[in-house]
Amino acid sequence: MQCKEIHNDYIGYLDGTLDAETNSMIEEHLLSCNHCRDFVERLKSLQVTIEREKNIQTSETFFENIQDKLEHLPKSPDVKTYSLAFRIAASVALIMFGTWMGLWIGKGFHMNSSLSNDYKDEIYYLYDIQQGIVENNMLSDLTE
Amino acid sequence: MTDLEYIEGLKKGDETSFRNLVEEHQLKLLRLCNGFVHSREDALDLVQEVFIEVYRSIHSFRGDSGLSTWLYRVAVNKSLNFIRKQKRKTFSLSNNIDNAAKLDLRDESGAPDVRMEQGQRDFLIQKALDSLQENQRIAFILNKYDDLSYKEISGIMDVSLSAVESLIHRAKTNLQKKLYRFYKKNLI
Repeated sequence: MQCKEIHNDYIGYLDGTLDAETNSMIEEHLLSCNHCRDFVERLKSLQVTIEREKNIQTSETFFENIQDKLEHLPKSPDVKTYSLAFRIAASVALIMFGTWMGLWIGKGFHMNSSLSNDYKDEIYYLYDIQQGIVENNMLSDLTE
Repeated sequence: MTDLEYIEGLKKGDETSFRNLVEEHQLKLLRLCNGFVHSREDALDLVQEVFIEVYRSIHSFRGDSGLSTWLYRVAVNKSLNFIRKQKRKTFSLSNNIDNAAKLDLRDESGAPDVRMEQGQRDFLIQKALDSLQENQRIAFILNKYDDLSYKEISGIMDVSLSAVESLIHRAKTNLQKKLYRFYKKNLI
């Protein structure tokens, strides 16, 4: 007769990872349920399979095989080459971007001539003021 | 040797460092890969590829994690990629299980009491394991085949401890359900 209350933790029960309370609950159930007891017995084959797969050995020539493979592999481009190529590409891109930005800004000044003239006036105006201050200072030095 | 010594040695191309690294880690990586691919020859090839990749890319190793964690990650990725390639080459896993089940149901109808031989039982258990969701399978294999702690697994999988606990618990529950179906058909 099949059991209607099969516990989900039989694998945990077998590998001993359950807490004490769950463990004793399962043990109690197994005492009275032939179906689950038989299933748990069958589940032990899971552990047998895992143990069998774990029991694997390397070959004696394992390291030599790696060396052999390394020698016959095509040489990969090393990190330094990548890094240099990337730096060159980035520099070219930066120069091109800078040139384009310069042209774009210059074009903006030419298109707006009034702004350009105002800018010039402002420079002359500042120049006049500075020159005035310097002349005044020189005159005051002479008069003292 | 410490991680730092290994890394420095490998960067200099020192053969002794590389040999020591291989000798220290080869067996546990082999068990891990075998848990995924269930074939000694394929597992040996995969572990060799792991060491080759580590040797060739040691310059880009940033040291955010331990060397062992890195080796495990490379091994898991190589194993999963291998399985994906194999899947493309052959028929799907679900068909595989179904076919096995059909085959054995025919046996069952002929001789109900005949139990499968251990080799065939291994095959079904491996397929049940392979059909687990990928993250559950990785956590389960790291725990059961390499006896790694939940903390070590959380480092390799880059997930929290509670996530590892949950993944392993769900892996066991799902595995049990799959195996119970085989049991009911008298296959295991």
